[in-house]
Amino acid sequence: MSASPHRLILASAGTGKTYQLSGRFLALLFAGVEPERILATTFTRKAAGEILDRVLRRLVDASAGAGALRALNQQLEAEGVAPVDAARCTELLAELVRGLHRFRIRTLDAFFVHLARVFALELALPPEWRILDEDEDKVLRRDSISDALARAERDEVIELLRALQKSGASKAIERTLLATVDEGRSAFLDSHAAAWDRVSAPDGLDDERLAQALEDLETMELPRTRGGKGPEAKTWIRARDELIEAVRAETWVQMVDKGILKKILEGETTYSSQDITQHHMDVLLPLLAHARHEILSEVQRQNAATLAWLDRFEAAYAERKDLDGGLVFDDLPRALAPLDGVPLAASGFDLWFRLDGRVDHLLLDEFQDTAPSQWRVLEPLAEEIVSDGTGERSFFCVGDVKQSIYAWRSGEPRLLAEMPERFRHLPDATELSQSWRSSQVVLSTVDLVFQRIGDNAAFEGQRSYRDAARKWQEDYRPHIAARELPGAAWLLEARPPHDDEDPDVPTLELAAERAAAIASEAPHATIAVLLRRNAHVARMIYLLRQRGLRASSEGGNPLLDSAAVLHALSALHLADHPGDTSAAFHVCTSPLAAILGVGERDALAPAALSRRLRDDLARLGFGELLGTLLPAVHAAEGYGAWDRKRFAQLVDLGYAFDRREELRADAFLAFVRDTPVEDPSSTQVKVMTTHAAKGLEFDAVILPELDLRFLLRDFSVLRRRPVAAKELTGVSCSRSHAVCELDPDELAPMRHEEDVRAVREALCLLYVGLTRAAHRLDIIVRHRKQPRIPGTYAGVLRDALGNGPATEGGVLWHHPESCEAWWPPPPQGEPPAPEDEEPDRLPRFRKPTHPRALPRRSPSAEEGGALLAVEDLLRPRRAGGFTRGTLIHRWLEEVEWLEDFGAGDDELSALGHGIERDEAARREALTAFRAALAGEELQALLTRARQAGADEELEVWRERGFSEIVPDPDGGETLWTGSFDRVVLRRRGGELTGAEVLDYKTDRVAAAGVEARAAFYAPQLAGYRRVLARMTGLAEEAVAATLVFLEPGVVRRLPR
Amino acid sequence: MSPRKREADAATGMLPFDAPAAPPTPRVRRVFLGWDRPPLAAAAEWLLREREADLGELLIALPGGRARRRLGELLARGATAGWRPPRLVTQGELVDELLQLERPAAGRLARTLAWRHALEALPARDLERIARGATERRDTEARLRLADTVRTLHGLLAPEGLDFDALVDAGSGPEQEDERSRWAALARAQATYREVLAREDLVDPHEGRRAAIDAGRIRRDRDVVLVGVADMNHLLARTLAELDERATALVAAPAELADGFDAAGRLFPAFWSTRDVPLDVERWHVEEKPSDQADRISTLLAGWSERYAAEEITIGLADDEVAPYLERRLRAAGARMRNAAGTPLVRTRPYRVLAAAARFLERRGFPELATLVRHPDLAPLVADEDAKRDPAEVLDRYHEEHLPHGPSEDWPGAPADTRGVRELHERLVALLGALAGKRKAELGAWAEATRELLGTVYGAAPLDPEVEDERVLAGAITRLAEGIEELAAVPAGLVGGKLLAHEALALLLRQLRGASVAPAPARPEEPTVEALGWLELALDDAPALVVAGFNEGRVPESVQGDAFLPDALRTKLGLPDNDARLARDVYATTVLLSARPDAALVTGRRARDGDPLVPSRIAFHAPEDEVAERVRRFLPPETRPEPARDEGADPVAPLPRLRETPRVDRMSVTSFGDYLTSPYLFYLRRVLRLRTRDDSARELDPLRFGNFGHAVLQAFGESEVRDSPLADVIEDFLSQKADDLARATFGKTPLPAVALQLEQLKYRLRRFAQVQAWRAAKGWRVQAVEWRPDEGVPFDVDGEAIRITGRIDRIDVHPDEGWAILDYKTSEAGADPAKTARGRDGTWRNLQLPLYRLLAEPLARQHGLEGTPQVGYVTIAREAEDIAFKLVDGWTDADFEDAYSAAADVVRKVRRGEFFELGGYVPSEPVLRALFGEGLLHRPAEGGVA
Ligand code: SF4
Repeated sequence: MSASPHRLILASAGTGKTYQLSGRFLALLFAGVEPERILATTFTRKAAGEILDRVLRRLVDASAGAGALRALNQQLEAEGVAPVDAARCTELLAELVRGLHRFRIRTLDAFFVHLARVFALELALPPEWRILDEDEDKVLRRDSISDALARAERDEVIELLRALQKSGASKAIERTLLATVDEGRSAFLDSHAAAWDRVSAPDGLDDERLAQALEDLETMELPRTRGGKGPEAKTWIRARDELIEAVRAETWVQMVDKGILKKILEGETTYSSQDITQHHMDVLLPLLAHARHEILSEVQRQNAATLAWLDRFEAAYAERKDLDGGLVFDDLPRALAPLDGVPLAASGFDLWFRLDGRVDHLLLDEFQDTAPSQWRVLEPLAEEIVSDGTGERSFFCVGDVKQSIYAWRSGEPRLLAEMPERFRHLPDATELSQSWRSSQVVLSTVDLVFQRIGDNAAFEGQRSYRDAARKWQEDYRPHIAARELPGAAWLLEARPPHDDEDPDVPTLELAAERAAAIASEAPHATIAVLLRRNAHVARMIYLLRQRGLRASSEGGNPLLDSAAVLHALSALHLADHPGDTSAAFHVCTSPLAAILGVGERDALAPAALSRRLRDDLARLGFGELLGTLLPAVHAAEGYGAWDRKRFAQLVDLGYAFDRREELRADAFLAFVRDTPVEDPSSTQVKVMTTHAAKGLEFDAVILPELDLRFLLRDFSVLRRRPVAAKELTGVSCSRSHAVCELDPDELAPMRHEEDVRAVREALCLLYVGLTRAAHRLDIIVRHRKQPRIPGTYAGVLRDALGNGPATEGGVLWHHPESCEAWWPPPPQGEPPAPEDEEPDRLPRFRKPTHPRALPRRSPSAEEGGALLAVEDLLRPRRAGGFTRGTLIHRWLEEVEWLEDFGAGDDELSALGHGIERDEAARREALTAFRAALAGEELQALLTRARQAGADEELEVWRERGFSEIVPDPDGGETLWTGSFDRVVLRRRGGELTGAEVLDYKTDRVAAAGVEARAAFYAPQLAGYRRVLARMTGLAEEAVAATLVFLEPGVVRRLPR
Repeated sequence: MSPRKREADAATGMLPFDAPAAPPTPRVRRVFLGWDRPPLAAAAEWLLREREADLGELLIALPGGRARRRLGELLARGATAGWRPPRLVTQGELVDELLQLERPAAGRLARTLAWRHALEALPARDLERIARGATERRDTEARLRLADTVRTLHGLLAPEGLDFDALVDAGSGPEQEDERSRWAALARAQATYREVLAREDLVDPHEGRRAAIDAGRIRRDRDVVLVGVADMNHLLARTLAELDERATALVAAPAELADGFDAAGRLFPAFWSTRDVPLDVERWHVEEKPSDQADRISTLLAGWSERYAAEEITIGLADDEVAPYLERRLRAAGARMRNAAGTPLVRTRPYRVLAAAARFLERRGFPELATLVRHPDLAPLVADEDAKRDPAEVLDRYHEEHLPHGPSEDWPGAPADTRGVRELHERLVALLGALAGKRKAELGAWAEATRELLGTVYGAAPLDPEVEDERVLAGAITRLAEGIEELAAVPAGLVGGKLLAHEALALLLRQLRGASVAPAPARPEEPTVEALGWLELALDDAPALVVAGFNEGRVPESVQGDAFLPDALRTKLGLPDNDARLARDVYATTVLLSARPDAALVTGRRARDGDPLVPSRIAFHAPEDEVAERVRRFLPPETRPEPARDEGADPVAPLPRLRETPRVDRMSVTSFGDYLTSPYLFYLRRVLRLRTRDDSARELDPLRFGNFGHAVLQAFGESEVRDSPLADVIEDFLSQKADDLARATFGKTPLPAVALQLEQLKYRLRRFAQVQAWRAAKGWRVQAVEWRPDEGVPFDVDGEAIRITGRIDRIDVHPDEGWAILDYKTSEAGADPAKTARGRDGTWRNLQLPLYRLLAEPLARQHGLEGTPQVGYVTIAREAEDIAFKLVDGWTDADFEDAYSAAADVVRKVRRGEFFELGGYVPSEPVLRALFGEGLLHRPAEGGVA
């Protein structure tokens, strides 16, 4: 190992981050470290899988020697590990794959899940807890809101609602409260109550002084035009009147948001080119102070109300989750490293004992996406490792602040930036800026955009935006291509939209055209269309399809993009809601109507269809019910390949959902709506959001959705976090810039911090989008009439690359070194065949001949005939009569013939001890047994002398088990199993002449009831007879079947 | 052990430790069956040869239930008629065949309850040591959950001859004081547990068995044959040891490998865990997702189906996740996958009845009621006599209007509204019988009541086991009946008093959660492929076998970290550990690959939820020089994109429509706006009059919020105070009226969000009261409210009249300023009437206000209202400043005429059936979105006429 075993790497896009990480991993392994001692974490499951893949692939390649081995040895050398040969690689590979369970390469979430499972009881989590699915969590949140509301005082919530809506009275209660939870919960979990109380309001005017101030305002002297000689300035008159109106209407925000007060706030000394005099200040400052008081009081109230609500919600939510035994991922860091408490890893528990071994080496990938709450869990581990002086343990951390696009998931890139401060033992960070992915043309385009991003005109007039951009520029290093690759880059302007047309349509269309052109000139190149939002993904795919290009989306969307799926969902909705005629109409006018056997009539009167579907659902479950529709979907002319594919995926979802014990179709619909399903084909063109493209690369990238503001929507919560690793110290509901400036100590810095965060992330997103391209970039912006640079992504690009006017072909700019043949060299060999759109290859089986799992029957189960009476199924087996019957059967087993039967009561009672432990009960049964034997009919039956005919030899089987395969009349076979109470075989001259099977019945039947019971038992006896005939080889006619009712002492022979 | 490993053990405090007295190795006769053919077939043959037709005195034990059944079949097929069958048991049942317990064994439920008692009796410090926060958790569910956890843990140790006392010293090293104190706390609970059971004359089954062995209560009267039992627990080994030489082990391996087995036929882990498996790379397939695994298997089966009948093929489900995907594919092939796991009881109809009933009885809320009556087995029993209205529809309708908490004594709403739901609820209560009561009772009483409920719901007709649904139903009822019986048999002392109905049901359902109904036997006409879990596979006798989910973590399962028993500790204690599991699965893999001509293993790269999977490490138990090749096979292929060109265009469907369009001979004033926004919306809503239904709302939707507001304002307009100039008076009236109406509509305690909406409405009305008072003060008087000409008014278009219908919220008159037609708007933002009616370019977008004038003509004539009326909105909006009378400025008669001609245009288009344009409307309700084709890859085609 090199001087310090620890490493911090800042790796720009395409610079081989995974390569570095896998290299470290291999170095450790070659140095003899056991894989379970290495914990490597990343953020997506895909990335976690890729790390292991990469480690193994490099070993496989190196074991073949040559280039890969050389590269490996270079890296090993850098890590201070002696070079290895191919044989050693093979050996290590074999050792590793035989111990695959020992690897700890996980997503951070998965690592936390593991910890929280092993320590569930210590963390006061429900034992056996599970992670809730998105749709389940949604329901739980709604329930929790109801619970919290039911518990809250009405006035308290009214206060909250008013505060949230700035004094309005919205009717959308649930939505408002849910939004508050969605937006505020992560801040709530990451702060103490005090953080919500940072905003304080200065004193305002009391009623009297306010009235006075208003009067002063009304009589305020206004500047006059013409050097003081003309009439009062009109603008001032209007401004004053507006102020008066605002004071009266108590619209304080409007008051400071414009006019003279705004100027005063901004430190100006003139308004409308007239001096603001001391007189004016004397009149206006008290009003300004009062407005400040009112506005900030209102913010304060809202913060307090929001905090109180979140508190209440959290309690209800925790209860609901506990009841369900479910958690969401966000709960884990909070449980593992509570804000007010000791992190688990520092709590003195012997973590490693329960985790089966100590982690000595920590490898953190994509560190810029780590949230402070997550870091607080890891920090004690990292601390322990970094401060270990033995050199036996190591810390390795890699990330890129420029690619932190997960702030909405609380990712905090400053953690990476602050790492060297935090751990003094770390060596200086290594910066990687040599790209192995992209051509120089692409990279210098990226450089053009970001190297001077701080001065970009798109940030004009937005101080905090500008600050964020400057900071970005400061940290930015030019990118260099590691390899000579051909490349090309364009900035293109789309045609102007037609009237009423969605202005995104021309850019999307142009993107589709460019994709088509690229596909035809470079059929082997991978192409991605990267969008800002998910909403346009389906439309983009559609536009591509219109041009004959098949495209698929990465990351997947819910199945709602197929008509066939929607038809099925409507059918399921109808199952739950028989009165929903719109769903019925949708189903009955669809190709599914035929298979469901419904028509237009049913569209308006669908109750019967609804009932039937509900019944089928309970019978078959979602998977199977939908599966029965699949053939019809395949056959229907109204559906295409896309529908067939998506419907099959719907069926699979149905089967998966069936594991939940959910009867209501509504719940399944929610599940489908919330579950993205990937379209698995590896098409040449992919359409996805930039977020989904993280970590991927493509030969050509098209970016068509750039005319968007940097913030897709305004944030509702402002946060302040002075130290990246620590909790939030300030939280407030959000307000406009002007309002925030009223509180320069608290609100203004919070707003600034939030703006900076948001713009930084917006720039990261642009950076990630541009750097996905290996060879070619097509950047598409909307048409603009004016040359002014807008405050959008498009504006940034126009200012950095070229703002036109566009050439005839719509080109605003193209990279001067773009080359015609920009594509990568075509691969060798045959191109893969287009994906098979045929249904899966299905087996075609013959009719069964010798089935395994034979049907089984047991005569004792045939009572009452082949049909089962529910009443009988429900009857308790062990109730009173049961053990008594068992006892009596047991004793009867002792009787071969009464002549020879001499067992005493004590002996019999002892025999029955294992059946009935109560002595008295045994005695009672014994009395009944003796009484039954004394009866005349039984005496006759069980006395050999009275049974044996002349020359007849009798053989008796008692409690004889059987197991016989008997052919069925329908050509099948049945395995009959069970045991006979008693069989008497009759022989004459050694030859079997007849047999009788006896079945003892201990139910207490009155003599009058015997016939009915005998009929009830007849099928059972018939079964015995059949089996006995089979066993003995006798004809069924030669086998007698006899019922012995012990209590009335009656014997009934079954008619032949 | 590598030096590093030893070091590590020292670091984690693993000191050499002697596990409790290792069980004596039983002296057993070993017979090696070889593995050139399926072991069960070989075993059957051996048994029949050895014992001929008399196996009656034989006790045969197999590893699992499925092998037991199958051996039974093979023996029956191979034996001569009249043979004496042996007793076949699973390895788990074997001890109970051989041992006589002194006291009855406590069932699972009884044990859980006993543990609950034992834990509750612990001092707080001990209980907190076991589960932090547990002392504060008084709810039954939390306590039962903890009891279940401890029961499971105890059940893991006890068969191995260990208990919590033994773990106090053995379960931790010197550095794990925290672990030691935890085991000590558990040991104290264990003492109480034993006492509690003994008090009820019960014993923990494992402990009872141990005691029976210790006391020598062993039946030695039968010969015992173990078939393929490759590992066994401590108690079984001890029992066998007591049998002397009456036991025989049939080992599924060739005699050459005798070194791999101990004297009892058990595997030596060290022998097997390092052995290579005879896996030919061609027989190992790696696929991406579970669905891809299923596709692969489907393809394999397609190849095999030429040579094998379905019943000669077995699918091994090492990963359950693949099962549903396979089910679908086989069903599509006209075959059945007979999953040995059967139907989980929780998915059967009677279980669901009880589960839904339990939830309803616990919460008695409306959602629970809605779920319960949707159960198809209950619906017909609670529907009204002639079953005119579906119970679900009855509830949906009621919910829409009244948003109830749950069933109550006085259902809010007018008697006509509530009759349906009231009677429905009454019938349900009657059906639930005693369970519906709110009093506590003994378990026995609840057991009886539960039987009665099941009897009522399912007892109408006998069940035919030949019909699959009925067979499953019968199986489920039987299983439930057993559970009910066990419930009733739990000693009262363990239950701790009487329970509520839902608590009793919860106990019942809890103990049955893992139960299942056996799959249907093969049917002569239906090709059936067996699907078995991994543990059953080794002994399977199909000539063709494919395993799904041959992945690490499934084959073998492994432990890395555990809440109680980490792997290192298991090893130390002699419990089954990772090594033992690996050995078992290497052996199983070897047998299943060796014993048949066709076998394949399928490995996935990803789970359904995207989690990366790695192959079973057993796939790499191969010569070192083959390993690289195998790893390559697992690594994802470096994919190349398919060419993008796509020939087949997908069909584009037209917007859904009916062939016959209902005649439109009247149109409401608001419907014109619908048409102008979206002709298709007009078609759906106004021509076909389609409804949507949904019962998930917990507050009033905008429409019903508006209706409620309108109702309050109507009452105001009809009241004495309508012309009052005093805001206070108006406000009092409105507030009182709103409360009265709310009580009548939503009951005494409306849903929390509804109560808040009511407050919000009253807040808005307060402001309205003010503006209304000003208006009254200016001399405006309310002339009429909610006014509606009975048959509408005729509107002539091209010589044919259509009737315009509608209801005018309010008409005001003023002695000097004429008259005004007003419409209340309760939307959040106060809409501007002029902008709502016309676009910036003057085109009409909404004709409601101008058409009101038409509608008001009869009234105007009646009251002599002359001249052009003012028209506008009364906006009862969210923000106080938006609550106002907003009148359209300066519409002249010419504007009205223009609007009428726009209306005539709409009428013409409607008459021509021009409905199939989507317009600018974007629906939010899911079914409407679907009809509009929102989000579809292929949007439906517009155009055409009805
Ligand atoms: S053709 Fe020109 S731009 Fe293209 S790769 Fe070669 S040098 Fe670079």
